[in-house]
Amino acid sequence: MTAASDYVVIDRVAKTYNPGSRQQVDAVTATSFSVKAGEFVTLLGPSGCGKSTLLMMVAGLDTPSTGTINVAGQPMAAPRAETGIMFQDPTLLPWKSALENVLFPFRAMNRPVAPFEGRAAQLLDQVGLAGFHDHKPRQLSGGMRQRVAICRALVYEPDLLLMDEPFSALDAITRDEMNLVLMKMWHDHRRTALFVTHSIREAVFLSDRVLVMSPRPGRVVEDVAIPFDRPRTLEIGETAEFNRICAHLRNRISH
Amino acid sequence: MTVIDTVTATAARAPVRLRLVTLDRLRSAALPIGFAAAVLLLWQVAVDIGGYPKVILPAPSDIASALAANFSEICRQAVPTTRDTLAGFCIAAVLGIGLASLLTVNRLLRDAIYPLVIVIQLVPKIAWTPLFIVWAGIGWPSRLTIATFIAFFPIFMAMLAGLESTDGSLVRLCRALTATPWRTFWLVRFPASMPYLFSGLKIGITLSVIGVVVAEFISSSEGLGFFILKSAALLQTDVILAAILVLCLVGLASFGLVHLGELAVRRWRGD
Amino acid sequence: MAGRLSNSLTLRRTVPPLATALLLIGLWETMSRSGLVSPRLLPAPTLVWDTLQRSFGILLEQAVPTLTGALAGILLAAASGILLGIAVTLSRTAMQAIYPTIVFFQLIPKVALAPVFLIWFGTGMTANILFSVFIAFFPVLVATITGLDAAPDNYERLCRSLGMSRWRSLLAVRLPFALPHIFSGLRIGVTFAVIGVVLGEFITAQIGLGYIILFSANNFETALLLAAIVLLCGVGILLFAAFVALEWLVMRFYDSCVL
Repeated sequence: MTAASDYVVIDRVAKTYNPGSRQQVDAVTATSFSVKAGEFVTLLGPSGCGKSTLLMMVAGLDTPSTGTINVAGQPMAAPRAETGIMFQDPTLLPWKSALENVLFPFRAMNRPVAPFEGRAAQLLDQVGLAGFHDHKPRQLSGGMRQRVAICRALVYEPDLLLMDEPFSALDAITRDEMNLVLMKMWHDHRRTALFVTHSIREAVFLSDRVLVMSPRPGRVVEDVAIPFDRPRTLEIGETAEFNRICAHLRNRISH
Repeated sequence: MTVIDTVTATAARAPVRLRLVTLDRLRSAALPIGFAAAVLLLWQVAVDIGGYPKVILPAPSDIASALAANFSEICRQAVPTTRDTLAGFCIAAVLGIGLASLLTVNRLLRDAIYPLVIVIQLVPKIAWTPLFIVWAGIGWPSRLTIATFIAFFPIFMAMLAGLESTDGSLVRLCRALTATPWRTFWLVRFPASMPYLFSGLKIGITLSVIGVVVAEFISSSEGLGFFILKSAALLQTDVILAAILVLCLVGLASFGLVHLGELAVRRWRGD
Repeated sequence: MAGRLSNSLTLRRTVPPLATALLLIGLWETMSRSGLVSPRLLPAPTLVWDTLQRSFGILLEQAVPTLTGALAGILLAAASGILLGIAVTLSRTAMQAIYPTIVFFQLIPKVALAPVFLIWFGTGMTANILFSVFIAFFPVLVATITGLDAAPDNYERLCRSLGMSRWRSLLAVRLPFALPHIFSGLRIGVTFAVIGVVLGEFITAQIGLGYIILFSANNFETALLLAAIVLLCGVGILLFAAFVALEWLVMRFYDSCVL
């Protein structure tokens, strides 16, 4: 099933916390799937099904108990500098401006910052934050903070974008807005993307493929291709096709 | 754009809130000043009418005249007290910040040293004062050591708490961005611990004053503590209180310095 | 297996500090034994232990006034601090008037007033205890005020909408929220109370462990000094543990009773 174009390959990965103890937790059991280069794939599942654990393992922030993860043909052992990541909370430095926060990856990697200031500013403009470059995180709304986080994940031009429920703390209206922003940015920059959410509509709207995970111990139980053309608008959410796919996914999650 | 609308709307509401804030500020400034003035007045009247002996309870006016009469002597004694307080505090700050930083970066050192610091912390630290005098004599070195010793613990504990309480997701982000532990420390942990550090420094500076005064009480031939005890032996309560007044000023001024430092750091951080 | 996991954690928690402590004590012992450091300045740990055993009777006798003084000090400080804290928070005006004064008192070096207490109350236990109350009072008061302010606003609204009286909502909602703060204030207060008594003993120089410490310092009997400090630690830890136990009891009481 592994093809040359597969960018991320998860092969029979399982994760068990506190093995052998009374607090043993089987977070993920023997799961295999792969993501093609340039593809937007979403892991969809109920809370606590191990989807975030899987994402953290792909990021190299956690290691599988068994099985292997390959990214760009290399086995994952530690975090790699070519991965962009977004967490549930924006994780901005409260004492730095929006622009400085976007530039933070270069500082963290101990690379010169000056050559990338233009690109960072341009990204902020693209997500609709022109005029907010010098604002501190506390002066920005929740949605604006996540826009900064999107820019930060893209600024060093990673080849893989990992997103762990990045919009789940936002209200429904802002969430729709953020989905559009993310869609546009992904379209413009076209990276392989692995997205985690428990929102069915969000998953269908954003993805090329949705992988449904079972409740804990989690594993992928279904692989659903999403047929809509890109660029997509919020209106596709009202089509019968969209709602049919959502209903199908909802069914799969509850079984 | 919607965001701009929100910003403008907030700006329009601002003057009303500003006026309310000013009124509240005025009230919260006038009330404590009024309260303090009332207490002083009551004190003065009580002494004047009650006719308490000056040794037991000198009136505020007695204290003022004692301060005027002994002003140059009290100021002369305040110099070594201030000097030892600030020097001891600075050394404690350097040691506290340094050790806390070292322990956050090295796990084994932390496991080995931190519990010992906790145990030493349990000892009433003032009780060590005579020991330091045995070790370092009755001159300024012992007073400096005591001030350093007593101010070190709150600074160290606060700095360590600050470094360790850094938002876990920020540290995780650094790890995902392949930052080295030292870079994570310098870019994230250290700046994030500033509010904690300053709360520790504020406790440290007040303790530093206390350490110096106690050392001067026990064994010294200079400083405000020495002067206060000498006046106590002569039963000059008004002079004692005048000296304590100056000591309070020294304490508040040193505290103010730390506070200014905090404001400067906050300004630099922009919050 | 669970046992093994927690065992390895316990090992990691206890072995490094114990090893360091043993290393330091060993170093101290050899330095003192070899004459590298004069035993007059730093007597060997074994010598301190001998002195502690030999003078245990006297030391224990002197520990009694220190312990009772500190206990009386913290109890009086707790009672007055908590009551005044409740009184102050009941009125916004009183709060605004008095709170800055309290903060001011927190900042100034209160120990400097010790000689004044001697003039007022003589050189006996009374002065020591009252000075200890004076020093331990402020942390309890500030913690009480902070704690009574800690209940989220919605709880206050809930109480009002349920038609609860002020006292009832204080007892049922605000006090439970305040208790952790009050107990952390009391823990600081305990150490302060011990410091107050010891400082009083330093200055009056008649009884107590503080007196022994000062006396042995003046006579360069450093082993006795360290032995007295060890016992003073015992006094401090005893009082501290008593308040931790009290906190546990009170918290359990609040958990089990329905108000």
